[in-house]
Amino acid sequence: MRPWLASILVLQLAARVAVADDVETAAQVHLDRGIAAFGAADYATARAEFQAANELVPYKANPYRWLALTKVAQGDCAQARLDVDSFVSRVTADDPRVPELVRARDGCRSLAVDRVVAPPRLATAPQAPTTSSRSLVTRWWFWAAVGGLAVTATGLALLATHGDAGPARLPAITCTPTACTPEAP
Amino acid sequence: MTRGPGNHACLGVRAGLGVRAVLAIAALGACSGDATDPCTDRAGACITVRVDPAAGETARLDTLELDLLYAGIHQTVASAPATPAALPAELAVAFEITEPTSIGIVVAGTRGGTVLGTAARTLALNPAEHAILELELAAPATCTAGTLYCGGHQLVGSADTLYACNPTGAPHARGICPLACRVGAVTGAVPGDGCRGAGGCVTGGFYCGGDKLDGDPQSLYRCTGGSTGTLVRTCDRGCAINAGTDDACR
Repeated sequence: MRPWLASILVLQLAARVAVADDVETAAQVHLDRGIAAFGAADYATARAEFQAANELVPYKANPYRWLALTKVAQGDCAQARLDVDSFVSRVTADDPRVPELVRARDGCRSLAVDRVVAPPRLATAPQAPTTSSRSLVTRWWFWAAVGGLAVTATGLALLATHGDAGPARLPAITCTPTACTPEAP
Repeated sequence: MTRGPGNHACLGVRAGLGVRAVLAIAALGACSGDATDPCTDRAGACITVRVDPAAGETARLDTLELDLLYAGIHQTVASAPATPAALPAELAVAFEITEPTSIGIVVAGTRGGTVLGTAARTLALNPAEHAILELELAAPATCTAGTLYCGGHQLVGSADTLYACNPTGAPHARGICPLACRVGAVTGAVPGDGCRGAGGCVTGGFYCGGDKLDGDPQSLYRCTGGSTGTLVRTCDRGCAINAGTDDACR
Protein backbone atom coordinates (compact mmCIF):
# COMPACT_ATOMS: atom_id res chain seq x y z
CA MET A 1 0.00 0.00 0.00
CA ARG A 2 1.28 3.40 -0.90
CA PRO A 3 2.15 5.62 2.07
CA TRP A 4 -0.17 8.42 1.04
CA LEU A 5 -3.10 6.04 0.74
CA ALA A 6 -2.37 4.57 4.17
CA SER A 7 -2.24 8.07 5.59
CA ILE A 8 -5.66 8.88 4.18
CA LEU A 9 -7.14 5.70 5.61
CA VAL A 10 -5.66 6.38 9.02
CA LEU A 11 -7.03 9.92 8.97
CA GLN A 12 -10.47 8.69 7.96
CA LEU A 13 -10.44 6.09 10.74
CA ALA A 14 -9.36 8.68 13.24
CA ALA A 15 -12.13 10.99 12.10
CA ARG A 16 -14.70 8.24 12.46
CA VAL A 17 -13.45 7.39 15.94
CA ALA A 18 -13.60 11.04 16.88
CA VAL A 19 -17.15 11.31 15.61
CA ALA A 20 -18.12 8.11 17.42
CA ASP A 21 -16.55 9.40 20.57
CA ASP A 22 -18.48 12.61 20.25
CA VAL A 23 -21.73 10.69 19.79
CA GLU A 24 -21.09 8.43 22.72
CA THR A 25 -20.09 11.36 24.84
CA ALA A 26 -23.28 13.16 23.97
CA ALA A 27 -25.28 10.04 24.68
CA GLN A 28 -23.60 9.71 28.03
CA VAL A 29 -24.51 13.30 28.85
CA HIS A 30 -28.16 12.55 28.10
CA LEU A 31 -27.94 9.38 30.12
CA ASP A 32 -26.48 11.17 33.13
CA ARG A 33 -29.16 13.84 32.97
CA GLY A 34 -31.81 11.18 32.73
CA ILE A 35 -30.47 9.32 35.74
CA ALA A 36 -30.50 12.52 37.75
CA ALA A 37 -34.08 13.22 36.73
CA PHE A 38 -35.06 9.65 37.49
CA GLY A 39 -33.58 10.00 40.96
CA ALA A 40 -35.68 13.11 41.43
CA ALA A 41 -38.77 11.19 40.26
CA ASP A 42 -39.02 13.51 37.26
CA TYR A 43 -39.86 10.65 34.97
CA ALA A 44 -40.94 12.75 32.05
CA THR A 45 -37.58 14.48 31.85
CA ALA A 46 -35.80 11.23 32.49
CA ARG A 47 -37.67 9.52 29.67
CA ALA A 48 -36.84 12.29 27.23
CA GLU A 49 -33.15 12.18 28.15
CA PHE A 50 -32.97 8.40 27.92
CA GLN A 51 -34.78 8.53 24.60
CA ALA A 52 -32.24 11.03 23.29
CA ALA A 53 -29.40 8.81 24.43
CA ASN A 54 -31.02 5.79 22.85
CA GLU A 55 -31.38 7.56 19.52
CA LEU A 56 -27.69 8.49 19.55
CA VAL A 57 -26.44 5.02 20.44
CA PRO A 58 -29.23 2.57 19.64
CA TYR A 59 -26.76 -0.30 19.79
CA LYS A 60 -26.03 0.35 23.47
CA ALA A 61 -27.96 -1.62 26.07
CA ASN A 62 -27.99 0.78 29.00
CA PRO A 63 -30.35 3.41 27.62
CA TYR A 64 -32.92 0.64 27.05
CA ARG A 65 -32.53 -0.37 30.69
CA TRP A 66 -33.17 3.13 31.94
CA LEU A 67 -36.01 3.64 29.53
CA ALA A 68 -37.58 0.45 30.84
CA LEU A 69 -37.22 1.51 34.45
CA THR A 70 -38.64 4.93 33.72
CA LYS A 71 -41.64 3.54 31.83
CA VAL A 72 -42.28 1.10 34.63
CA ALA A 73 -42.29 4.02 37.01
CA GLN A 74 -44.73 5.78 34.72
CA GLY A 75 -46.91 2.69 34.45
CA ASP A 76 -46.31 2.41 30.74
CA CYS A 77 -45.87 -1.31 30.98
CA ALA A 78 -46.31 -2.27 27.36
CA GLN A 79 -43.54 0.05 26.25
CA ALA A 80 -41.43 -0.98 29.21
CA ARG A 81 -41.61 -4.61 28.16
CA LEU A 82 -40.30 -3.71 24.73
CA ASP A 83 -37.36 -1.88 26.27
CA VAL A 84 -36.66 -4.79 28.60
CA ASP A 85 -36.57 -7.10 25.63
CA SER A 86 -34.30 -4.73 23.78
CA PHE A 87 -31.95 -4.57 26.74
CA VAL A 88 -31.90 -8.33 27.31
CA SER A 89 -31.12 -8.95 23.66
CA ARG A 90 -28.03 -6.72 23.91
CA VAL A 91 -26.44 -8.21 27.01
CA THR A 92 -25.30 -11.61 28.06
CA ALA A 93 -27.67 -13.86 29.96
CA ASP A 94 -25.69 -13.55 33.16
CA ASP A 95 -25.68 -9.78 33.15
CA PRO A 96 -26.41 -8.77 36.74
CA ARG A 97 -28.82 -6.05 35.62
CA VAL A 98 -31.21 -8.52 33.99
CA PRO A 99 -32.88 -9.89 37.16
CA GLU A 100 -33.52 -6.39 38.42
CA LEU A 101 -35.09 -5.36 35.17
CA VAL A 102 -37.20 -8.49 34.91
CA ARG A 103 -38.52 -7.88 38.40
CA ALA A 104 -39.39 -4.33 37.49
CA ARG A 105 -41.14 -5.53 34.35
CA ASP A 106 -43.13 -8.13 36.26
CA GLY A 107 -44.04 -5.60 38.89
CA CYS A 108 -45.27 -3.28 36.23
CA ARG A 109 -47.43 -6.01 34.81
CA SER A 110 -48.96 -6.64 38.24
CA LEU A 111 -49.67 -2.98 38.60
CA ALA A 112 -51.28 -2.92 35.18
CA VAL A 113 -53.48 -5.89 35.99
CA ASP A 114 -54.72 -4.25 39.14
CA ARG A 115 -55.30 -0.99 37.43
CA VAL A 116 -56.91 -2.04 34.20
CA VAL A 117 -58.39 -5.48 34.39
CA ALA A 118 -59.55 -5.73 37.98
CA PRO A 119 -60.20 -2.33 39.45
CA PRO A 120 -60.40 -2.50 43.20
CA ARG A 121 -63.86 -2.76 44.68
CA LEU A 122 -64.76 0.36 46.43
CA ALA A 123 -66.90 0.61 49.51
CA THR A 124 -69.12 3.02 47.71
CA ALA A 125 -70.21 2.77 44.13
CA PRO A 126 -67.74 4.44 41.86
CA GLN A 127 -68.90 7.70 40.46
CA ALA A 128 -69.67 7.69 36.83
CA PRO A 129 -67.38 9.93 34.90
CA THR A 130 -68.84 13.30 34.27
CA THR A 131 -69.86 13.99 30.72
CA SER A 132 -67.29 16.73 30.47
CA SER A 133 -64.48 14.34 31.28
CA ARG A 134 -65.47 11.60 28.86
CA SER A 135 -64.01 11.44 25.40
CA LEU A 136 -66.38 11.96 22.53
CA VAL A 137 -65.56 8.57 21.08
CA THR A 138 -66.70 6.82 24.27
CA ARG A 139 -70.26 8.05 23.93
CA TRP A 140 -72.86 5.80 22.39
CA TRP A 141 -74.57 8.54 20.49
CA PHE A 142 -71.31 9.48 18.79
CA TRP A 143 -71.01 6.09 17.19
CA ALA A 144 -74.71 5.99 16.41
CA ALA A 145 -74.32 9.28 14.60
CA VAL A 146 -71.25 8.02 12.77
CA GLY A 147 -73.12 4.88 11.73
CA GLY A 148 -76.10 6.88 10.59
CA LEU A 149 -73.93 9.17 8.54
CA ALA A 150 -72.12 6.23 6.99
CA VAL A 151 -75.37 4.53 6.03
CA THR A 152 -76.75 7.73 4.62
CA ALA A 153 -73.60 8.46 2.65
CA THR A 154 -73.50 4.93 1.30
CA GLY A 155 -77.13 5.12 0.26
CA LEU A 156 -76.62 8.44 -1.47
CA ALA A 157 -73.52 7.12 -3.21
CA LEU A 158 -75.38 4.05 -4.40
CA LEU A 159 -78.27 6.15 -5.55
CA ALA A 160 -76.00 8.48 -7.43
CA THR A 161 -74.05 5.62 -8.93
CA HIS A 162 -77.21 3.83 -9.91
CA GLY A 163 -78.55 6.94 -11.50
CA ASP A 164 -75.43 7.40 -13.60
CA ALA A 165 -74.94 3.75 -14.45
CA GLY A 166 -77.66 3.35 -17.02
CA PRO A 167 -77.34 4.94 -20.40
CA ALA A 168 -79.85 7.58 -21.37
CA ARG A 169 -82.81 6.12 -23.19
CA LEU A 170 -83.62 7.66 -26.56
CA PRO A 171 -86.88 7.20 -28.46
CA ALA A 172 -86.97 3.93 -30.37
CA ILE A 173 -87.09 3.64 -34.12
CA THR A 174 -89.23 1.18 -36.04
CA CYS A 175 -88.31 0.17 -39.54
CA THR A 176 -90.94 -1.42 -41.76
CA PRO A 177 -90.24 -2.79 -45.23
CA THR A 178 -90.89 0.68 -46.56
CA ALA A 179 -89.69 3.24 -44.03
CA CYS A 180 -88.21 3.97 -40.61
CA THR A 181 -90.00 6.19 -38.18
CA PRO A 182 -89.13 7.35 -34.66
CA GLU A 183 -91.49 6.53 -31.86
CA ALA A 184 -92.77 9.18 -29.51
CA PRO A 185 -90.39 9.98 -26.61
CA MET B 1 -71.89 -13.31 -32.67
CA THR B 2 -73.17 -15.84 -30.19
CA ARG B 3 -76.67 -17.18 -30.31
CA GLY B 4 -78.79 -18.29 -27.45
CA PRO B 5 -81.92 -20.38 -27.52
CA GLY B 6 -84.99 -19.02 -29.22
CA ASN B 7 -83.07 -17.47 -32.06
CA HIS B 8 -82.02 -14.64 -29.84
CA ALA B 9 -78.50 -13.45 -30.10
CA CYS B 10 -76.43 -10.72 -28.71
CA LEU B 11 -73.90 -8.91 -30.76
CA GLY B 12 -71.68 -6.41 -29.15
CA VAL B 13 -69.85 -4.24 -31.57
CA ARG B 14 -67.89 -1.18 -30.77
CA ALA B 15 -67.05 1.00 -33.67
CA GLY B 16 -65.74 4.44 -34.19
CA LEU B 17 -63.68 5.45 -37.15
CA GLY B 18 -62.86 1.78 -37.25
CA VAL B 19 -63.91 -1.26 -35.36
CA ARG B 20 -62.46 -0.92 -31.87
CA ALA B 21 -63.45 -4.23 -30.45
CA VAL B 22 -66.02 -6.91 -30.88
CA LEU B 23 -67.63 -8.53 -27.90
CA ALA B 24 -70.07 -11.36 -28.13
CA ILE B 25 -72.31 -12.07 -25.20
CA ALA B 26 -74.33 -15.24 -24.81
CA ALA B 27 -77.35 -15.50 -22.60
CA LEU B 28 -80.25 -17.88 -22.12
CA GLY B 29 -82.73 -16.47 -24.55
CA ALA B 30 -81.88 -12.95 -23.75
CA CYS B 31 -79.01 -10.55 -23.71
CA SER B 32 -77.11 -9.60 -20.66
CA GLY B 33 -78.72 -6.65 -18.98
CA ASP B 34 -82.07 -7.34 -20.61
CA ALA B 35 -83.83 -5.87 -17.61
CA THR B 36 -83.06 -2.48 -19.08
CA ASP B 37 -82.50 -3.43 -22.68
CA PRO B 38 -84.81 -1.37 -24.86
CA CYS B 39 -85.25 -4.34 -27.22
CA THR B 40 -86.45 -6.68 -24.49
CA ASP B 41 -90.15 -6.36 -25.18
CA ARG B 42 -89.90 -6.45 -28.94
CA ALA B 43 -90.76 -9.69 -30.66
CA GLY B 44 -89.14 -9.02 -34.01
CA ALA B 45 -85.62 -8.23 -35.04
CA CYS B 46 -84.20 -5.47 -32.96
CA ILE B 47 -80.88 -3.77 -32.47
CA THR B 48 -80.02 -2.03 -29.26
CA VAL B 49 -77.83 0.80 -30.41
CA ARG B 50 -75.65 2.06 -27.60
CA VAL B 51 -73.72 5.20 -28.24
CA ASP B 52 -70.72 6.03 -26.15
CA PRO B 53 -68.87 9.29 -26.15
CA ALA B 54 -65.35 9.51 -27.41
CA ALA B 55 -62.80 8.98 -24.66
CA GLY B 56 -62.75 11.96 -22.38
CA GLU B 57 -65.80 13.58 -23.96
CA THR B 58 -68.80 14.43 -21.83
CA ALA B 59 -71.02 16.15 -24.33
CA ARG B 60 -74.81 15.97 -24.29
CA LEU B 61 -76.71 15.48 -27.48
CA ASP B 62 -80.17 16.64 -28.41
CA THR B 63 -80.53 14.47 -31.48
CA LEU B 64 -79.13 11.18 -32.63
CA GLU B 65 -79.34 10.94 -36.38
CA LEU B 66 -79.36 7.45 -37.79
CA ASP B 67 -78.68 6.71 -41.38
CA LEU B 68 -80.09 3.27 -42.04
CA LEU B 69 -79.48 1.12 -45.05
CA TYR B 70 -81.26 -2.22 -45.22
CA ALA B 71 -83.11 -4.38 -47.72
CA GLY B 72 -82.67 -1.85 -50.46
CA ILE B 73 -84.08 0.90 -48.29
CA HIS B 74 -82.14 3.95 -47.30
CA GLN B 75 -83.47 6.38 -44.80
CA THR B 76 -82.23 8.96 -42.41
CA VAL B 77 -84.19 9.25 -39.20
CA ALA B 78 -83.66 11.23 -36.03
CA SER B 79 -84.25 10.18 -32.46
CA ALA B 80 -84.56 13.15 -30.17
CA PRO B 81 -84.90 12.91 -26.41
CA ALA B 82 -87.17 15.30 -24.59
CA THR B 83 -84.14 16.98 -23.09
CA PRO B 84 -80.49 16.81 -24.13
CA ALA B 85 -79.12 13.45 -23.09
CA ALA B 86 -75.72 12.72 -21.68
CA LEU B 87 -73.81 9.90 -23.28
CA PRO B 88 -73.83 6.97 -23.14
CA ALA B 89 -77.28 6.70 -24.62
CA GLU B 90 -79.18 3.84 -26.16
CA LEU B 91 -82.24 3.17 -28.21
CA ALA B 92 -84.04 0.30 -29.86
CA VAL B 93 -84.13 0.05 -33.62
CA ALA B 94 -86.72 -2.54 -34.61
CA PHE B 95 -86.89 -4.09 -38.06
CA GLU B 96 -89.69 -5.94 -39.82
CA ILE B 97 -87.61 -8.41 -41.77
CA THR B 98 -88.39 -11.92 -42.93
CA GLU B 99 -84.94 -13.04 -43.96
CA PRO B 100 -81.35 -12.41 -42.94
CA THR B 101 -80.67 -8.81 -43.77
CA SER B 102 -77.61 -6.66 -43.85
CA ILE B 103 -78.15 -3.53 -41.80
CA GLY B 104 -75.96 -0.53 -42.31
CA ILE B 105 -76.11 2.04 -39.54
CA VAL B 106 -74.42 5.38 -39.33
CA VAL B 107 -75.09 7.48 -36.26
CA ALA B 108 -74.32 11.12 -35.77
CA GLY B 109 -74.78 12.74 -32.40
CA THR B 110 -75.72 16.37 -32.75
CA ARG B 111 -76.29 19.29 -30.45
CA GLY B 112 -77.89 22.43 -31.79
CA GLY B 113 -77.31 21.23 -35.33
CA THR B 114 -73.61 20.65 -34.79
CA VAL B 115 -72.31 17.15 -35.22
CA LEU B 116 -70.50 16.09 -32.08
CA GLY B 117 -69.34 12.78 -33.43
CA THR B 118 -70.18 9.98 -35.81
CA ALA B 119 -69.87 6.23 -35.91
CA ALA B 120 -70.93 3.50 -38.27
CA ARG B 121 -71.26 -0.22 -38.56
CA THR B 122 -72.83 -2.84 -40.76
CA LEU B 123 -74.16 -6.07 -39.33
CA ALA B 124 -76.27 -9.00 -40.46
CA LEU B 125 -79.53 -9.52 -38.62
CA ASN B 126 -81.86 -12.49 -38.71
CA PRO B 127 -85.62 -12.28 -38.23
CA ALA B 128 -86.53 -12.10 -34.53
CA GLU B 129 -82.89 -11.67 -33.63
CA HIS B 130 -81.81 -9.21 -31.00
CA ALA B 131 -78.40 -7.64 -31.20
CA ILE B 132 -76.49 -5.03 -29.33
CA LEU B 133 -74.46 -2.56 -31.32
CA GLU B 134 -72.08 -0.42 -29.36
CA LEU B 135 -70.79 2.59 -31.18
CA GLU B 136 -68.25 5.06 -29.94
CA LEU B 137 -68.62 8.47 -31.39
CA ALA B 138 -65.57 9.91 -33.02
CA ALA B 139 -65.07 13.47 -34.08
CA PRO B 140 -66.50 13.96 -37.56
CA ALA B 141 -63.93 13.76 -40.28
CA THR B 142 -63.28 16.67 -42.56
CA CYS B 143 -65.32 15.56 -45.50
CA THR B 144 -66.55 17.97 -48.15
CA ALA B 145 -70.30 18.49 -48.10
CA GLY B 146 -72.01 16.93 -51.08
CA THR B 147 -69.06 14.76 -52.03
CA LEU B 148 -69.28 10.98 -52.13
CA TYR B 149 -66.91 8.85 -50.11
CA CYS B 150 -66.38 5.19 -49.45
CA GLY B 151 -66.79 4.31 -45.79
CA GLY B 152 -63.58 4.91 -43.91
CA HIS B 153 -62.39 7.49 -46.40
CA GLN B 154 -62.82 10.95 -44.88
CA LEU B 155 -65.86 9.74 -42.98
CA VAL B 156 -66.98 6.81 -40.91
CA GLY B 157 -68.75 3.88 -42.50
CA SER B 158 -68.43 0.47 -44.01
CA ALA B 159 -65.77 0.05 -46.61
CA ASP B 160 -68.21 -1.50 -49.09
CA THR B 161 -70.71 1.32 -48.76
CA LEU B 162 -70.77 4.66 -50.50
CA TYR B 163 -71.73 7.68 -48.41
CA ALA B 164 -72.44 11.30 -49.08
CA CYS B 165 -71.02 13.93 -46.77
CA ASN B 166 -73.90 16.10 -45.68
CA PRO B 167 -73.47 19.77 -44.76
CA THR B 168 -73.00 18.98 -41.06
CA GLY B 169 -70.28 16.45 -41.76
CA ALA B 170 -72.43 13.42 -40.98
CA PRO B 171 -72.28 10.64 -43.56
CA HIS B 172 -75.43 9.54 -45.31
CA ALA B 173 -75.34 6.18 -47.01
CA ARG B 174 -75.93 6.06 -50.74
CA GLY B 175 -75.88 2.32 -50.92
CA ILE B 176 -73.92 -0.85 -50.55
CA CYS B 177 -71.76 -1.37 -53.59
CA PRO B 178 -72.51 -4.64 -55.44
CA LEU B 179 -68.82 -5.24 -56.12
CA ALA B 180 -66.78 -2.81 -54.07
CA CYS B 181 -66.44 0.82 -53.19
CA ARG B 182 -63.51 2.47 -54.83
CA VAL B 183 -61.84 5.67 -53.77
CA GLY B 184 -61.65 8.09 -56.67
CA ALA B 185 -63.80 5.91 -58.89
CA VAL B 186 -65.76 8.83 -60.27
CA THR B 187 -64.07 11.46 -62.35
CA GLY B 188 -65.40 14.33 -64.33
CA ALA B 189 -67.43 17.28 -63.18
CA VAL B 190 -68.17 15.87 -59.72
CA PRO B 191 -65.25 13.64 -58.81
CA GLY B 192 -65.38 11.42 -55.81
CA ASP B 193 -65.53 7.87 -54.64
CA GLY B 194 -68.01 5.49 -56.12
CA CYS B 195 -69.14 1.95 -56.48
CA ARG B 196 -67.00 0.04 -58.89
CA GLY B 197 -68.84 -1.16 -61.98
CA ALA B 198 -68.45 -4.59 -63.52
CA GLY B 199 -67.53 -3.02 -66.83
CA GLY B 200 -68.76 -3.83 -70.30
CA CYS B 201 -71.61 -1.36 -70.34
CA VAL B 202 -73.32 -0.76 -73.69
CA THR B 203 -72.50 2.71 -74.91
CA GLY B 204 -75.58 4.93 -74.70
CA GLY B 205 -77.31 2.58 -72.26
CA PHE B 206 -78.56 3.63 -68.83
CA TYR B 207 -77.04 2.14 -65.74
CA CYS B 208 -77.13 2.63 -62.00
CA GLY B 209 -73.78 3.39 -60.47
CA GLY B 210 -72.05 0.20 -59.43
CA ASP B 211 -73.87 -1.94 -61.98
CA LYS B 212 -71.80 -2.04 -65.16
CA LEU B 213 -70.18 1.33 -64.61
CA ASP B 214 -68.59 3.21 -61.73
CA GLY B 215 -70.73 5.62 -59.77
CA ASP B 216 -73.32 6.35 -57.13
CA PRO B 217 -75.79 3.50 -56.66
CA GLN B 218 -78.59 6.03 -56.32
CA SER B 219 -77.81 7.78 -59.55
CA LEU B 220 -78.47 6.91 -63.16
CA TYR B 221 -75.69 7.21 -65.74
CA ARG B 222 -75.43 6.92 -69.50
CA CYS B 223 -72.63 4.59 -70.54
CA THR B 224 -69.76 6.10 -72.47
CA GLY B 225 -67.93 2.84 -72.79
CA GLY B 226 -66.22 0.31 -70.57
CA SER B 227 -67.14 1.15 -66.99
CA THR B 228 -67.58 4.86 -67.33
CA GLY B 229 -70.58 7.03 -67.93
CA THR B 230 -72.04 10.47 -67.55
CA LEU B 231 -74.49 11.37 -64.82
CA VAL B 232 -78.06 11.55 -66.06
CA ARG B 233 -79.75 12.28 -62.75
CA THR B 234 -79.77 11.45 -59.10
CA CYS B 235 -82.70 9.23 -58.17
CA ASP B 236 -84.93 10.42 -55.36
CA ARG B 237 -86.03 6.93 -54.34
CA GLY B 238 -83.12 4.86 -55.45
CA CYS B 239 -81.93 3.32 -58.67
CA ALA B 240 -83.18 -0.08 -59.84
CA ILE B 241 -80.89 -2.45 -61.69
CA ASN B 242 -82.81 -4.25 -64.41
CA ALA B 243 -81.51 -7.35 -66.09
CA GLY B 244 -81.56 -7.25 -69.87
CA THR B 245 -82.78 -3.70 -70.13
CA ASP B 246 -81.82 -0.22 -69.04
CA ASP B 247 -81.58 0.50 -65.34
CA ALA B 248 -83.93 3.21 -64.12
CA CYS B 249 -84.78 5.40 -61.16
CA ARG B 250 -87.49 3.92 -58.96
